[in-house]
Amino acid sequence: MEYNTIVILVVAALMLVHLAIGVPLFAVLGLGALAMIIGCDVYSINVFGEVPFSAIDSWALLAMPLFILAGEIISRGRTAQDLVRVGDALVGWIRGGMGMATIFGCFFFAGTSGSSSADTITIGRIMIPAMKKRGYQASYAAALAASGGILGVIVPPSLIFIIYGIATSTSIGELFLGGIFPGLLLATGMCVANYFVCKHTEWGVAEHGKFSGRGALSALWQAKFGLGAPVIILGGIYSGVFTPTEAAAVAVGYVLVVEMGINRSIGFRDLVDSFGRAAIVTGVLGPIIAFSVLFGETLAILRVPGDLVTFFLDLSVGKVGSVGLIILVLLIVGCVLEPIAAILVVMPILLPIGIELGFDPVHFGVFVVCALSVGFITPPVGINLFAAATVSDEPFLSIAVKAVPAFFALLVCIVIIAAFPSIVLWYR
Amino acid sequence: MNVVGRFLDSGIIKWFIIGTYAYFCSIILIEVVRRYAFGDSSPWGEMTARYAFVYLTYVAASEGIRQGRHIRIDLLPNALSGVAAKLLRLYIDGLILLLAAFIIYFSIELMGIQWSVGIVMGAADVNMAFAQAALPLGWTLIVIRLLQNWTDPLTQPLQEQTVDQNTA
Repeated sequence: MEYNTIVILVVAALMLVHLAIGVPLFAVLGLGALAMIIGCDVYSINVFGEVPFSAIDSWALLAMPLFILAGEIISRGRTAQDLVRVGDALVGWIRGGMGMATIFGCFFFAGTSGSSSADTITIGRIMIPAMKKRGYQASYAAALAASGGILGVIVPPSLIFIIYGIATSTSIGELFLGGIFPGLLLATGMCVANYFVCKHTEWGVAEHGKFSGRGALSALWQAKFGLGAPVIILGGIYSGVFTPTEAAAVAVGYVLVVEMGINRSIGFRDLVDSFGRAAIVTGVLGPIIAFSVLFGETLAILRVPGDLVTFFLDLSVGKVGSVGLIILVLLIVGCVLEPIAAILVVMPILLPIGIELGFDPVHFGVFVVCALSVGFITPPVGINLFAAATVSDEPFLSIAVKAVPAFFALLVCIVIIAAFPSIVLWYR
Repeated sequence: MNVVGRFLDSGIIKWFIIGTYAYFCSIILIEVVRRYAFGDSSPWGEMTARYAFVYLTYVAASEGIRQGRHIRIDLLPNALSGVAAKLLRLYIDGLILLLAAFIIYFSIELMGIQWSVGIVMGAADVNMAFAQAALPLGWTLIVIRLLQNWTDPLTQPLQEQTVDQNTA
């Protein structure tokens, strides 16, 4: 075995150990890159004064803090309630309709928030008590909010797509468009699972009896400002009026006007708090992005991704087997790492494999994000489970168990997304 | 250390963060409006927004250290108690200090080169070292906050905020 290979394997093992004992991810990535640079002597160590700056000094990446801020502001306002009413009017008349309204409330809210935990907490605060009143078991109601929250990172605008786009030089605009139908598919899949659970348990008997077109139109009109945000964001990007970063700034301005000016649902103090909270998320993600860029560059110089592609293809399991293996790896990684951080760690290695298997980078990105996002509802890290537990006061593990039907529905949908590229690439 | 830490806790960092965020958010909006309403845009608007973002990132990262928000697998730290927990925390903080030392040293070295050679920002006649200073400033704050957490830990519970904020 070559000297460099031994160094890489030792450093990779040490990184896993340090991650497992609780070293923050940014430090694991930074020190891992440092150890590889010193151990293999392939890169100037001076990059430690340069890359943490240049990796963040990015116009495209500026969209990230702005969408985080827009999500923080809107989650304090009235828009979420209006969007939940739309979901209720559209699917509330079906058995299990309140659960489906929760999932579609998350879907619509995702059009502005871009964040899965914000989706779970904001929609969960409104819908979990409402579902309990309709006879849903509390832990199942919390599991629905946690599962629906996943849509926060699939439906555009999505933070994880911005980061994937920057990390892999893929068009963020195309990723946003590519996320619309997979988001709808995942929402539908979870609704179907919810329908069968409700049918089996007698929870969520149809609330309205039958569909009312007038009621649906009224709810849509009521929620026009909330539904307008994604239209402005995506419309602005695709008509060429804004770049994604400018669209993010426009989204902040828009939600400020709606929530402070029109709805009058937040005040100056809420705005100051939103700035502070959004900044902390930015400060948490920023160093991870910086060191993942440095780590990815170091791996590329050492030709690790190329060697791993060769190893993967030598397994001779065919394309279906390879996709199955990728899903398995992503589910395991998603279980132990927060998905937005996980994508930075796995993409330098997985994207070359995906390209070699014939995936389009946009299709592969959406597929990988969907698969990693399942980690939001799987223990031990399942962030949405923690978020739902906080909102509902239900035990984390009870919610995790009740999220199992959604987990299997998501798995089926992910296989469909991997098998049918046109679900993602419909706009081409 | 506690005097410096309490000064940072007093609100200066919070207002720095709010000011920086508000600056780059509003400058981007103003540039969009200027471009479409007046057919004009400034060469420095985008550049200063990016540099403000770098400052925000590392100063906010130091607040993330202070409030224990950085992403990590915390099963083992939560399972340990007493001396074992303290030793593990000491080891983890030692590693972060090591990383910070490398970044502060090499970023100051790079600032020195930028200053002596006279490298200026692309769209303004201002030395690039002023933008690069985001790294030593942010990482020095990270070191201060890391040490402050030993001598003057936060007592306010942050459980709900941790779930809400730590992630996407």
